[in-house]
Amino acid sequence: MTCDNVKPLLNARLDEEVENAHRAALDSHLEGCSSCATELGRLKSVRNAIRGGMPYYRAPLGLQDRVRFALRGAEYLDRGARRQDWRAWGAVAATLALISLASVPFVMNARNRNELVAEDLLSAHERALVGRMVDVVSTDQHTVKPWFNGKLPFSPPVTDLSADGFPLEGGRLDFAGGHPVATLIYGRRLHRIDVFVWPLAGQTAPPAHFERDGFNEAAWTRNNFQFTAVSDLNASELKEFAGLLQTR
Amino acid sequence: MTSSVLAGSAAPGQESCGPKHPSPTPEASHQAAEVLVSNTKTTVEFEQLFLQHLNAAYNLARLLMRNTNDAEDVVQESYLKAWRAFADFRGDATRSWLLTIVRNTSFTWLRDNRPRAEHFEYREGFHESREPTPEAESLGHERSRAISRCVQQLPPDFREVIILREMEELSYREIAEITGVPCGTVMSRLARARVRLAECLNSCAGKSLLRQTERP
Repeated sequence: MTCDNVKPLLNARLDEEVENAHRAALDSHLEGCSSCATELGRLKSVRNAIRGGMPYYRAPLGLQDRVRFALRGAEYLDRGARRQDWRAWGAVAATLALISLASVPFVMNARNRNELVAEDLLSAHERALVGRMVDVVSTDQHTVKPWFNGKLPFSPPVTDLSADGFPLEGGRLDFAGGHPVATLIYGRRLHRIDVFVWPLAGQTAPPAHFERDGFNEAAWTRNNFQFTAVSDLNASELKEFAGLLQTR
Repeated sequence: MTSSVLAGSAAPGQESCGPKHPSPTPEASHQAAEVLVSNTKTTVEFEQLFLQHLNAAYNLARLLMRNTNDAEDVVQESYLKAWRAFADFRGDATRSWLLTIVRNTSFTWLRDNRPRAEHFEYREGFHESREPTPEAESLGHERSRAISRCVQQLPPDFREVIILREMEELSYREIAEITGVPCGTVMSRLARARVRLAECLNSCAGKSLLRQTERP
């Protein structure tokens, strides 16, 4: 080997990137060539200076939390987007089902689904009675409705019924059946009415009223939304309330 | 003979060191995709694999972006990109894979968000004033600061190969995969970067930071 073909390989030699087959020849040249050996020594001193003295920038405190926070947020939003895709296909499927099975009581499906979700709603209502009641306190529907923007993959309809004796008190986010729902809070004397709202494309069901664990509930669908009202209010007043929301 | 002598070169004249493993065939990747559908990777699993490389990700971003805020933004964005691409991730080279994304995100930022950032000459005190690194502070050294300054003065193409080689101790092949250039280019960039570093280190504050007596 000559200096001409050794010099271009000095960095590779320093970085242990020269194949074993060539290393011996390279090293024997270095033994006898002070020019190449000096050059390699110079490279080595540069490397040692960097490796020994270059400060390693460690991630600032809080960056890990920030990254985790961003990941969780993205995960949540992506799930919402996937759900909406799924829901769009569900709407197509439901429309086809309506066309072909118009005489079949398809309502059963919706009712079963509501049963599955009902326990979540009831416990959300009970939790709210005990502790956290309202996320956004406002009697103004134009304050409550925009509050949900960005927090949910849908925009729930918000109606004020204060003129009818059911003043809007605010809104809240809850989870039912593994997905987020909008909760609208109405008042009636000392009673609270939680109205849970979530999209239900392509399905309709007749209004239903029932009692569960001492709470009265009303469920109905309107404009592709499922509504479920839960309250300790007496059944007849809750029915009146539900009737108002179904027509306003 | 320059490139053919490099370890990892398959044949004389072949410039790239090539991937360590053969690329998956279309059939293989199709099968892998099916496996993934039934075995959904979770965010928790992603965090377990990748948060351990947070320092490496930050160090690279910090030295490429040359300021703290941009580095943090780049790191966050890189993790989000990695998370979204996680389903396609194969193998166990988590650090290299993440650093590839950090590197690409940094260069995209430098190009799109901070078109003038690289036109500023690096000035001590300007970029570092907001964040004296704990290491540099505890060592307390002009020496450390001077070495850092020499590295940060390098053009980005040279800076990244020095960071990946000397700080992350990656091989030419790994650096080639991260930076998307052939191994021969990695070596030539390292060579030129070291020449510049030698000049800078030799002239720091009137005294050399290099020991001249070093022998191989």
